[in-house]
Amino acid sequence: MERSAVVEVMQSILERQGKGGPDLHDSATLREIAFRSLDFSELCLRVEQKIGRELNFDASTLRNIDTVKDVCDFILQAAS
Amino acid sequence: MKLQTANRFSCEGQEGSLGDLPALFAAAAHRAGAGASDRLAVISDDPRMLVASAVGLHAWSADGAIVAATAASPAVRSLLLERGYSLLEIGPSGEWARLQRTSGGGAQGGRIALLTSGTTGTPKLLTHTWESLATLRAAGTLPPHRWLLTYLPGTYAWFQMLTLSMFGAEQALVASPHCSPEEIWDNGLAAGFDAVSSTPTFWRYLLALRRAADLVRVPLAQITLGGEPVRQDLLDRLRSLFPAARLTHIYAAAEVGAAIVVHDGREGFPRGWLADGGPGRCRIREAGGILEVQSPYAAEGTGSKDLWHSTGDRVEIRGNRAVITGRAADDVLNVGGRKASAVAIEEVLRANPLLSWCRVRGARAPLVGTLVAADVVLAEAGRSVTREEAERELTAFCVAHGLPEWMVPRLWTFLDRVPVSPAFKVERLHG
Repeated sequence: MERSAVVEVMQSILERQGKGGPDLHDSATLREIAFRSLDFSELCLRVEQKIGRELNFDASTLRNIDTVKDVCDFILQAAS
Repeated sequence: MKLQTANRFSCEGQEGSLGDLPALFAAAAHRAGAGASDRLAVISDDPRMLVASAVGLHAWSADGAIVAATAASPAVRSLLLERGYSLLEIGPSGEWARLQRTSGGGAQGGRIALLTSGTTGTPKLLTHTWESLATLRAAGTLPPHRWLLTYLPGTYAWFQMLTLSMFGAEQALVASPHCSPEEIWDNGLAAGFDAVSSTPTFWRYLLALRRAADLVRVPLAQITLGGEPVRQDLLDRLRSLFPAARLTHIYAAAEVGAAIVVHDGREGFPRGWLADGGPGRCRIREAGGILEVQSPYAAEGTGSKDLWHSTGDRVEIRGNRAVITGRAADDVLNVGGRKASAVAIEEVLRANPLLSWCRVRGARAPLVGTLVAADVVLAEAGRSVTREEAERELTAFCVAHGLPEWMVPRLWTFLDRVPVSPAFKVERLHG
């Protein structure tokens, strides 16, 4: 899965929730863009649906996620 | 109870009287070597043979069960054999019949076993007498009707209609092979009918697939809804299409019978019935938000007639009405530790003009365990927007109507038509 595809799903989730804005950039924090735990869970589920299998991740790594870049890294790692 | 032998029965172009049917059943049973002393579970896909078998079992005062071939899964067959019912399979028009005997299970006479899936999906058997099955007798004297038989043979609702015809004066039945709602409707048109008893889903399906102008050509005098919660939008739609029909909705359960009967075209029932027990022979009350029923029609083995049965169905007070919203166990979704009511979410979505139907369920999701998902069918107004636009608008609608963030559906599945179970009910799905 491409990094741009992850950002695209994030963007569409935010837009659907009425929180859409300018294009997401890597350094934007999740707090700034109001990307909350439900949004993150939806992102994971949508990625799982796209790749046809469950994401493989360690919940402890979630604590270090702060920015859009962190989300992308996390998803790409979990999907690999 | 005395069979109304002159009542008419029509099926696939053949019409006769109920009094003709016991002989049809007896011929098939004897062909297979079965007799009145056997406990028989009759399995067939011929609707005429299934009705004939039920009437025949009554004529023999025999114990038995009626099972549509589509419902006769290996688990159902095993259960019936374990409980002492020999399986009598009957082919179309009784052309062939074969018997699988079992031992055990002493016959009591005049007992009818019903298959229900309960809340767990595991089949179980409930036993009724003809007296406890025939609860619609208490609904008062009905004018003559020809009823379109829409229910899956062998179910409690099917027996309600059958016993209405067996024991009620001038109540005819129009049956057809159990297929889709529109096929049942079309098959019935040739025979003619003026009354329909069905689930709400049967109508929602029909209204989505048939032009209203075609449906209203049938001069319905009676529309009865049951088997699922009945919503005001459907009552209003049916009232506008069939202004001359009496509109009735019934709350019934296989364990307790038809407990609540309402004719005023309004969702729910007067809340005062919960305080005074209601006008019928069944008494009702609310305990902890759940409907309880005390019933003279309770199935055997479910306790004395004085026992209050917890139905497991949630009842809500809305102004001067009490509304049954569905099974409590199906309603609550746990989204990351917060509770979301599927019923409450559906109430909101149902008010959106883009949709003609919706069902809310939980979808298993990483991190929070469950996310709210919605299966929807678009109404005419919703077909001109893209799915992305529809998702955005529906999400905004939920937020604008006060649903907290965790109750707003996250996943949307757009269906072409209302999905129905063989019993024409909406099945709850658990993610």
